[in-house]
Amino acid sequence: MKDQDPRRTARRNARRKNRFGSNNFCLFCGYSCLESLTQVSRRWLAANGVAAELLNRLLEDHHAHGEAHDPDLLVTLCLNCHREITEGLLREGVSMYPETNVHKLVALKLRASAVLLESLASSYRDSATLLEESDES
Amino acid sequence: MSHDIYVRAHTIQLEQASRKRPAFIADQKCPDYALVFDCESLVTPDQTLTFGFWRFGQRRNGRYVPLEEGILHDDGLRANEINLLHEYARKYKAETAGDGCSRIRVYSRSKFVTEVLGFAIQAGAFIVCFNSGFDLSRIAVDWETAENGGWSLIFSKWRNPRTGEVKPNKYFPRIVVKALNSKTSIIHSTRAPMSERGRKTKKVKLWPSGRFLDVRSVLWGLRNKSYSLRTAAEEFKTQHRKLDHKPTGKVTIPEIRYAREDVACTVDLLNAVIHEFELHPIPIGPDRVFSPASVAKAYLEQLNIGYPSKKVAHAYVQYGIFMQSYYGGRAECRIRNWEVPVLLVDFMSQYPTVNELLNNWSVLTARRVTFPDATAEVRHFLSQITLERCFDPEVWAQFRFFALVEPDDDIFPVRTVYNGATQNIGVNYLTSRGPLWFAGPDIIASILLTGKVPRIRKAIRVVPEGTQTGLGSTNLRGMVAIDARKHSFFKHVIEQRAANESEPALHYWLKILANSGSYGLFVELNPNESDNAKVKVFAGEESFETTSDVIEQPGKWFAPHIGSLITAGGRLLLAMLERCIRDAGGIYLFCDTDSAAIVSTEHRRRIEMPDGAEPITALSRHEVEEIVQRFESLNPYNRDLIPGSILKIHKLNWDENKRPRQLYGYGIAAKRYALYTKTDNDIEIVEPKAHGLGYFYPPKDSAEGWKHETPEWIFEAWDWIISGVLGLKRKQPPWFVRPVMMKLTLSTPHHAFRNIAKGPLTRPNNFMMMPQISRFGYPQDVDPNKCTFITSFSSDRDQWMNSKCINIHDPQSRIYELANEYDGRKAVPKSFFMLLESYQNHPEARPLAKNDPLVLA
Repeated sequence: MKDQDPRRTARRNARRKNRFGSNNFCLFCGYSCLESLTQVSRRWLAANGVAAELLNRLLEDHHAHGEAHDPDLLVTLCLNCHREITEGLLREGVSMYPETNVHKLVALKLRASAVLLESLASSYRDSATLLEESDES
Repeated sequence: MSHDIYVRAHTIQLEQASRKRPAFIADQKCPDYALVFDCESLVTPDQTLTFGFWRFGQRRNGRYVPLEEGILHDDGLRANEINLLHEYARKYKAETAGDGCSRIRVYSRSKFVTEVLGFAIQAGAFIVCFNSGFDLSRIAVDWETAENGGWSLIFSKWRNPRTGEVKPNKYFPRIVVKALNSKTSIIHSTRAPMSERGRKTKKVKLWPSGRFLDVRSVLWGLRNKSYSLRTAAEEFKTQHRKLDHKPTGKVTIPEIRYAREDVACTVDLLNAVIHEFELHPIPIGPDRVFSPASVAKAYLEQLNIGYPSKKVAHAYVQYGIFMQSYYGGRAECRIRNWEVPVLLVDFMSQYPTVNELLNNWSVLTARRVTFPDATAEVRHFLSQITLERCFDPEVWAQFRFFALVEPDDDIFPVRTVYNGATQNIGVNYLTSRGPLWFAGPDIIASILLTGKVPRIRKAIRVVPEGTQTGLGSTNLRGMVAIDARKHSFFKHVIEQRAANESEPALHYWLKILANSGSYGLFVELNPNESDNAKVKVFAGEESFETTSDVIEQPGKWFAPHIGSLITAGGRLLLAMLERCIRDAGGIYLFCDTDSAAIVSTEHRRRIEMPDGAEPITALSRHEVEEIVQRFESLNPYNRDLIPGSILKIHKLNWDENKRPRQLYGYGIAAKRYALYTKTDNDIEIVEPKAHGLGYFYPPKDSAEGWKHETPEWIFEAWDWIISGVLGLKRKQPPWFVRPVMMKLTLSTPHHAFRNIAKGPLTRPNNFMMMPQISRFGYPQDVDPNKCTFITSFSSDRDQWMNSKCINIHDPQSRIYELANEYDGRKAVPKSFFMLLESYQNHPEARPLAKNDPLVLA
């Protein structure tokens, strides 16, 4: 994934490290990418109405072009993937604030789509490999 | 003659205000990110920023890989120059990793400060430059004197819309640069608030501390060599090198390419330096390396050795005694302005050897160190001292004492004003009405040289009690195992150096470690400016309270009971050598800390002296070798690794084919001498001393491939002096007519510069020149006692005479020009010819004559 603004990435990383510590990881799956982690507790999840059996497969709506630019274009992602793709949008320079200049808005949507498509490409490749491997076995 | 003498003292600050120390991020030796930048400046005196390049990189597989590249330019740069930078940025792709940003960004200085420098500080990144003080000062908009006496650089200002007043932005950190010496600075950023206090929470978020890494400083710490970017890139064989381009101060395509390559080269060097640094398993990051001693101290910490100050209880009075006894190395010239044949000898690793002989490692690793009274015992011990006993290494551990002496025609180191102008230290006959404290080895040296025991009023011993717990082990440079429980650091480092001659890098570094870890850290005192601070002074056993504008802050390893004994031990070795030479009927030309040039020829012979003086005897080479052999008994090292004597015949006494050659020496004064070889009508300078000359800017560059550390012009200067003395044909070098210039870096806000602190010449860390004015060459409208001219820096020697100068003592100074002939209005600088004329007539102000002893008032 290209990073168009590594300084901001570095700053976010530093802030997240400051918040989570440098060696933190997801309690459920061991996921440890600091950029993508969201800090919640089981108690917090339970208090927010998440059933115990759903704790390991939380899903969220992702605004593919950013909510400010297209509130209706939604895809469903797990919590981590949602955070990861949002990080991708930020690295690509897709602002989360409304854009009034049409040229800039179209450019932002194209960039946001590129990020989504890159993620899909990666995901499809993994799925294809999985299928091929299951056929072989 | 009667003199006032000066002794050192120990001071402690009373009513010390608690000072906020900047917090350093300690979780990683090297952070994940680094910002590397380099600035180009105008070539006018102000050296204002024109533009620069920066690269922001991430650490991957131990290397910083650039992810973003950009240009910064001065806020006030001309539009056409900014356009050229944009054009360049559009035309070329950024040199970044595949996943990095491929555009070259172009930011103004102010945008660079907030969006690059500010972000890098927040990201905890290394802020990297080669000579950081200069580059950080280019992007500062203002500066003040920092609390610690360094520069406090201001990067952002704001205008109050109501009053129109422009003030420093208190929400952006300042960067404080405190120069330690010409090679290194301590740099930190202030922890300014990031915004105003929250209305509800009242919490203030502070800026994190920046981590500043000056590649030049780290190189100095690791290699003990002062590199330029060019020489460092050559030494480390970096992929990018400094381009052959002379900066013009303009924004042109060649200048842009040059600046870009400089940053690329700095990134390569950063990676190379960190790679070398990581060989050392020490508990500090490379940004905390300011000198070779930083590395040595980190190793002592890694060995878990407790700080010496924690092992002595309330020893202020004793520290006053040790500091009163403290003097540096002995240097003197015995035969002035007369050529003599010599043989140069020197003590191998003198200070580590003295440490080992005095068993200082047991003091450093003791559980506790005490200083009990030992007057009777020391008196008895001194009455038994002979030269022979001093060659017994077992006796040396008993030299670890200090005594209050009533000097009466004894020979001791004395700090006084010998020449009527400046303080200096000499080893002299001394008689004093009041008693003085001296270190044990100095008292023994006096006995060896005078043959009588000084009157001892009181004495204390340095006694280590037990061994501290928790001593650890480590690997020096990752290769040499050392265990503080089994090995003496001082001895082990020297032995392992000898054992690892086949590893040149390790062999060289162990020498640096031995020198940096054996002495200086024990007498480290950092002067900090203060405003009339109350201090208590301990001198000898006396103490008094006073005020001072400078506070000497002891370093963590400050241990004057060790430091004072080390230099005294070195002087004792020289005194033993002096006695041996004297007993053999000889004399030496000079001695200098750990070396001496003994008057010697192949066969013993008489040498006539000028002006009817008594002839002297040149010892035969064999007789000198016998003296050298006497010091073998003091070899404290493993003889399989380091056989023979600790006194060595210097390699300069052999030619390139390893055949003995006769050296000649000519001395003007202490530390002002040269050694050379002779043919019938010519001489060849072998070892010239740069003392008294080396601080001037070289009037010529040394030739390509010059192998000596001392620059070529010093060789030529000595060749000219000695050829003249010997009546040989000599040719005046072309640089003799050039004005004598000193290069000056405005690294500290010196009082004299405050007059013009915001003037055009005085941006912090600017380079400038200080022309040396001849005695009668001052313009009529200045007072020579209040006149120091400065001018802009130029390495173009042909332009030096066209310099425009100002007088730093005069806030309204006019511009002064330089001229060869005096007209009352222009200044006449000293030429190198004039400099050498006065140099060779320099007086030796330190007498050592029985009929001319120092008698203290």
